[in-house]
Amino acid sequence: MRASHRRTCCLLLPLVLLAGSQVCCVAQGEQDVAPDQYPLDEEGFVRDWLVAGPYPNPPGDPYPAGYEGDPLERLGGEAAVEPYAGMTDEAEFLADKGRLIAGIGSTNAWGFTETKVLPVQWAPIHWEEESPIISLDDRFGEIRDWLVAYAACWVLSRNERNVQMRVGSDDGYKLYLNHESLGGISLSRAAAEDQNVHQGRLREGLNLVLLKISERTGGHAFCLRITDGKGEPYDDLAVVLSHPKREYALGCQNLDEVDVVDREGFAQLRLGEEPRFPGTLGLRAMVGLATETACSVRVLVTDGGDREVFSDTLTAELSPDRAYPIEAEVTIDRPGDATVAALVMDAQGDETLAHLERAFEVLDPDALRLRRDQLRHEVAERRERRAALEARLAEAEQEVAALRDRVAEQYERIQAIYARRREVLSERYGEEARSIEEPFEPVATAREVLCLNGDGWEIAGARSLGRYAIDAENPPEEGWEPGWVPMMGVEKYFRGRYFPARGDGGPYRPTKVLDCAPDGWTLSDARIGDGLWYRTTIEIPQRWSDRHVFFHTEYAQHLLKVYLDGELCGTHSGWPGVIDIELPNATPGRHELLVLTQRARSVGEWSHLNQYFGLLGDVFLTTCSDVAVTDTWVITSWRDATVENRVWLLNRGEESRTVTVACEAVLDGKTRLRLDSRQVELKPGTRAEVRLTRPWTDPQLWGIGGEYGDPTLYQMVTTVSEGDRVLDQHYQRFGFRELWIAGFHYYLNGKRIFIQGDNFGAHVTSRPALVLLQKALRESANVNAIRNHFWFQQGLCARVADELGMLVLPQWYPDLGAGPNALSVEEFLTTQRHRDNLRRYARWVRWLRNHPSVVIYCTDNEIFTQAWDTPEKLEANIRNDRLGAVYGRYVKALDPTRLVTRDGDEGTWGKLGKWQQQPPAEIANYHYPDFNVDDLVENWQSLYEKPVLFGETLYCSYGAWDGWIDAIPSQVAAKARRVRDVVGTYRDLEVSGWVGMGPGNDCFTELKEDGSGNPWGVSPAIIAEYKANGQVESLPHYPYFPIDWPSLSGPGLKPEFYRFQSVYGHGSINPCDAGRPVYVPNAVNAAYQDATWPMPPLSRHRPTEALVTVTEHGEPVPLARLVLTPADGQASEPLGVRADTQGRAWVLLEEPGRYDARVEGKETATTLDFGPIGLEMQAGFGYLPRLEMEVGQ
Amino acid sequence: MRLSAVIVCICLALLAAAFVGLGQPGEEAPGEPQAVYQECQELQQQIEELDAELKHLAHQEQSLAEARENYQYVLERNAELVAELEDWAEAE
Repeated sequence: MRASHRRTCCLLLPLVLLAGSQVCCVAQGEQDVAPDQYPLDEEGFVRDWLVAGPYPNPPGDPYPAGYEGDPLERLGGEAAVEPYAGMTDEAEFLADKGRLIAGIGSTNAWGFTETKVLPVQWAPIHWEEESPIISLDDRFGEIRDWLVAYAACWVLSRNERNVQMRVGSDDGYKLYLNHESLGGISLSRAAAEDQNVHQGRLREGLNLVLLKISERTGGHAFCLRITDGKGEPYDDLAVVLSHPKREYALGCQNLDEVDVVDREGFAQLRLGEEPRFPGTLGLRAMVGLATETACSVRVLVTDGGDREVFSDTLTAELSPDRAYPIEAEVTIDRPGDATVAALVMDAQGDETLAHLERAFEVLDPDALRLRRDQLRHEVAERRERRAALEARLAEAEQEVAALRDRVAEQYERIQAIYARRREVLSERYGEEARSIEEPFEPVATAREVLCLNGDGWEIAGARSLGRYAIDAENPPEEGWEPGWVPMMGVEKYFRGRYFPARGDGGPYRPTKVLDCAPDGWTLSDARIGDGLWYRTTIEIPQRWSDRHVFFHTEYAQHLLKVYLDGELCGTHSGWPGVIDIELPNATPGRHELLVLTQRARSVGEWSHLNQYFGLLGDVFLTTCSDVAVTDTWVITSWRDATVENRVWLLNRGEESRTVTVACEAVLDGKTRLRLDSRQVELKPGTRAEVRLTRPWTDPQLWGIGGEYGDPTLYQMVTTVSEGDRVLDQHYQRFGFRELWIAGFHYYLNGKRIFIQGDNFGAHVTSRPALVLLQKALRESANVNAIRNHFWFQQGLCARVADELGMLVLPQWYPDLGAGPNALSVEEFLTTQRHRDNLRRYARWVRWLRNHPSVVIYCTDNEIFTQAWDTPEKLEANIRNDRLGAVYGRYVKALDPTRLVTRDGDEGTWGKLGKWQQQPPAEIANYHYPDFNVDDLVENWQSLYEKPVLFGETLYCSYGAWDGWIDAIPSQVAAKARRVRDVVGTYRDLEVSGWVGMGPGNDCFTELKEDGSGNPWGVSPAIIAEYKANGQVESLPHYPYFPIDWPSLSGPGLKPEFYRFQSVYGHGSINPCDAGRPVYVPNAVNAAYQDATWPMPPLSRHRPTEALVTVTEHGEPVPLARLVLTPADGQASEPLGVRADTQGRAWVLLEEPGRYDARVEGKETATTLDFGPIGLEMQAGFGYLPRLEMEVGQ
Repeated sequence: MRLSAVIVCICLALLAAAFVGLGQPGEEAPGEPQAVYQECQELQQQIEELDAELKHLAHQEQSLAEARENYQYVLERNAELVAELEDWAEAE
């Protein structure tokens, strides 16, 4: 082994180190070494080092931060540090929140989710491997990439000499010799010998070499050899790893610090105190010797002119453990560098044992005065420059302000032009395009709906056939238990998220009901498997005998099978959007309706979310005639002042039919606009599409309130007639509005609008909670848009937003088939997975396109984002981006009337330019620019050249990525300051749109000692009590709050519990307990209110609802089928609601007013009046009108 | 001249001489070098602070220059948009 030979090299220089200073050998590839001096190897490589690390070296622009900066600042800095074995330090690895993006689980450069402080210790290594390249891989524990390490040694030279220092490094390095930088380089490379050559000069004695090795990713290594100018190694150089100054000081009782060493001698030499001026100065020399020896010591002081001003020779017994003191008063008349020297000779004066010398600056008063005058001048000159700069700044500020004013005038002008356009169109179209007011009377047709929601169902778990596999063909004969729809099935692991239950002994173990659960409550095993059966008995009335009957729901996860009387009627796979499955055997009379829902994984299909499944949407029976409308799409254009209704028709009959399609817009029981009619011939089994367009210059606009318009909702009534006979009348709610981009901004109905969004305004599971949360977000944080970040209730969220006046940005993921074996884009586009993506996007668009609140489709999330920004992922990221762009364009083609954005995918670029989405999108969507406002927010217009939507920003502050710090008051206050800063900047810079991560999380919660920071009175003491006992005396069900639903019938998922979360604001609001406030605002609410653009209030009204109890002879009629028919010209088909087992029917209507009410199978009919309901910030169900209908009279 | 006036004149002269003497360079009072040293230190500190301030102001100036450039860009783009929209607003 080559390295073993170097131990035989002869060292010619004497350097005595104290006993006990030898260091242990701990590093890889080394063997025991006793000597304190280590020769270089035969090629001149240094193989013995003190090494320290890891220090953080996160990616920077242009260089990694650790390379660029000075991580050794706490030790005096790279240019001053004098390391020794055992020297300690700390390194802080900051969690870079800019990289902590929701949805991917971590990460900063080191995979940490929160800041970590790691200890650093200088330790020796003695490299014995054949290769001189010293590997640092795996030396620093979990830190393997994006770090810097240091290596240091003292090179012992017998004389001064010019040398070459030849460095190899993986990746970059910086080199210091005797505290002077010799240079460095930052790049990515593998280490090799002699990659860079530096010229240096060694002085006689010890020379400190310090090497910083900067690592990005991959290997981490270095090597250094010292040669002469021709590259030939020296044979008389050695290194030591412990500086003798430190060793002498450690061994000497009366010295804490040694100033100089030479050979065996050491000394602390002091002359007066700074500043020194000519005059009398105190001299103090403390001299010691490594070996106890009788010596002659001559102390000599010379002034700046090399004149001897003091000299004294004495004989002393010098020793290593006690320095000999020499003190005197010395007069120095001349300024300059005075020198104090102690010359130690043997007692005979024959041999110099040490020459210890130190220089001191004696200042020249005259020069100092000149210096002072110079400094005064420099100060004055800088002040002048400052004044000039301030003047220029004031001028520039005025100039920028003037420019801003001119830009503001342009925006006024743009709005004026839009208004003018409407005037022009109004004049052009004239009376024909103005609203009319004619009574509207709905026509009774075969179209009818019956809501089957409620507790008239039974459920059973599908029989397991092994991991994820179930018997999907045979419903169980036993084990049925009472159930209801909609009902959520959950993944075992997530039981505790929704219910007071856990796995007993593990997340996948059988259910254990928690102590805090209400007495008698259990969680059925049927709800935590992979398949869930539902069944109910339905009664098909005689009047439906000539109709087509459908099972209808808008949301089922994932595979759905529908049976009637055991006969499979239809299957649906892939969950977004409306599902209609015809029940061909639904003849008048009683039938068993049986439904199976399966989790995606049980059928081997892709689904982004497997944690909940089942019949999650409302369940209806719907009916229609042979010729009927299957769908409509109402498209409104504010800029063109037009309304278009696209109608899809289907003839399910056996005869050709020629029908007339006529459309009208209805509001408050009055027809406001008639569209032209169109005749269509429909052959048996064929479909037709009809597009009817009409100018409309004065509709009541749908908007978010204020100048944008109130959220007015019309009904588009499509009437299909054959001669005088109406075959079908279809009703579609819509709002007249348009949101578009022009230049750098969004415009809603001709007015510029800044999107101020929230990412968590959709993340509650019940309709009442959604209503209150949206109201809370608007009134306390000026939120005007909700990004539905893949939360399942996208239809419900949009419906509530339609009614209240909130914008919605729904988001959907594609299956990208990503991973190590991903197909190329071209290959993937030929697969079934791609076709499934297209199908899902088409269903998604169809699901949402009639909602006026839905204004921007988000078609993926964070394909390009900071968190993925590593060279290793480049190829995969680009592949995924190009595929994501395919789906973005596909959605745009499906619905060109709306904007499309790809969330967070603007790129991972910075000033240098990196990767960007291709082709460019119409909106620049960048996530978390708040971590780099200077580069990513300032001057955003010229940076992005289009409107921006910072689709995620201001990550929530109390949860996962903040170590679950909770909403403690200090953190709430800090968040409020941050919100004021960042959101205030967005407003100052008129950033066109941002979506916080956000108000829904950081507002509405604070964990105060007295419990006053949230509606529930939860305090740290309560949390501690729950952790200790599993139950809280004052809140017996904490953190779950049972919801006392007034009925399980009627629209909407009705979760059994509301689960309190103190780290997420939307998890702190109270939708259900009438005795408590809905929310308690915190300082973050105030910050959002103050820093955002003010927003108009939401609608003053809730949707129209009521609870109708059906009784007969005073007793509730279980599962009574209440049928409501409009009596005030409301545009609606007859609406049926099946009551719960207590006879209570929860009615939700699109329009208020009087309805004729009857109960199926009963003679009694009456008229019920459903008035408008004010939207108050009131929890619970006190808002719900209670009506009664007695059918026995 | 009366004696008291002479005394006053002498006193004034002495005072004036004292003031003039104090203003002469090269004759330092005891401890003066330390005061000068201290002033140098303070001046150096001021220079460092001023340099930091100047750096900050220069950064602000740069930011304002970039903002000006940005708003000029916005103005130009918006002007194009306004022109397009004006044509569009009156179009058939």
